[in-house]
Amino acid sequence: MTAIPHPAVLRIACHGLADEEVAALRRLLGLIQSHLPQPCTLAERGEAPDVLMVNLDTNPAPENTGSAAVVGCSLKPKQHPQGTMYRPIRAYQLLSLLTGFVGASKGAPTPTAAAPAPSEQRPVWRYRLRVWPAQAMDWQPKWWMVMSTIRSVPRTTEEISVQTGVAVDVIEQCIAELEKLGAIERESVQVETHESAPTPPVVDQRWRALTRRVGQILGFAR
Amino acid sequence: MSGSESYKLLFIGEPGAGKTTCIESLSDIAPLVTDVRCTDELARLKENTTVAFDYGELSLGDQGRLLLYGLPGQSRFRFMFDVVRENLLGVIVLVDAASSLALDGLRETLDAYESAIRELPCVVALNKNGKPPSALLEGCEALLRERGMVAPILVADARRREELVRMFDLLFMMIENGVDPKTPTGEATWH
Repeated sequence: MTAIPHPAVLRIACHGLADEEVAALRRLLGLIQSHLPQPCTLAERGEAPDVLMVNLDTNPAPENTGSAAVVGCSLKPKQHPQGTMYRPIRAYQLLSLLTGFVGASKGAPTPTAAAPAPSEQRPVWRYRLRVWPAQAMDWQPKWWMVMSTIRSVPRTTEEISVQTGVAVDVIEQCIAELEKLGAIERESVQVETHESAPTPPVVDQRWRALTRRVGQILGFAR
Repeated sequence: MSGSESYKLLFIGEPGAGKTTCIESLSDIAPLVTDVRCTDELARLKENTTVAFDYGELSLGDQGRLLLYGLPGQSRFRFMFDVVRENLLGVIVLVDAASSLALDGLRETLDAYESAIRELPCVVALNKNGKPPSALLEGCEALLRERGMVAPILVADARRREELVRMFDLLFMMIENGVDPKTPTGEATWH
């Protein structure tokens, strides 16, 4: 991934994506906005983008992309270079990608953002917490967030990531530890990975706002 | 979200578990306390006990108010839960970790408030200054596990505001992330 300058707002343009895919991308950006380290938006006509998302199924990457970093997306990303994202765009990949861009532009290690998409044969699991282990009190708060999210509603790692803003690799580490302790159960989810992405969970901004307010008053602002 | 909205948090626990102390620490109004002098065997443990409920408020400015209730954990007081259940966001179960009957008290509280603890975001707090015996922690975990209840157990000194804040941090983490995504907008359902 190319490190890019650190603009105040990260602008994303699309090349070869259908109108409804662009609209979906706009909605996804709205959903994950509060989890991003800086504002990200779709570039308006005439604006130079920082990130250019190219539909590799219908278009090759344009030759002149200015300073924009090019990210390919495809119905079959495995048939394209490593780092190609799924099309339609999936929330967890977008979150990782944009978090990674900002991290890279700030000099952070290269993120796993555009890591290869999961294999089509890989099972997708929904996880549910069976017990909140006593050891967890010494764990990092991000893991508590993961556990809070699956306390009673089974969720996939993608859904947990959208709900909490925690990166998928951190979620997987937490789940691995919970599995070692026998504190989690899982069920398989039938998802055809080359088909449309499952609807991302609704992040209820009301509770987020309330939490933020109580945190400001008591001093646990996240 | 308008300034007239109010949300509720509930502290439940046995006599001496620290409900009144928690509410006094957090409330920004003078808390309503329904303590009376103990006349039974409880008098050996403490001078006063709560016979109805404790009540305090935390102003959230333009986001309304957080109403803080403290209810006794004994099953004979369970009927009072119906008074406070509307708009209830979460529950903090307090355990007097210094009591030799701590596990008995927790057992009664869990049984009396089973549905609320199962459905609502919930934290179990062992109220103690210092580290409680590991057998108590394990006992609490076992009681929750037997009932299929999933809740973090933490140790906190209810007299120390920063420890209450940690309790709230954890509870609100669950409130923030505990909504079923399939729930229609505007109708939060806790699981």
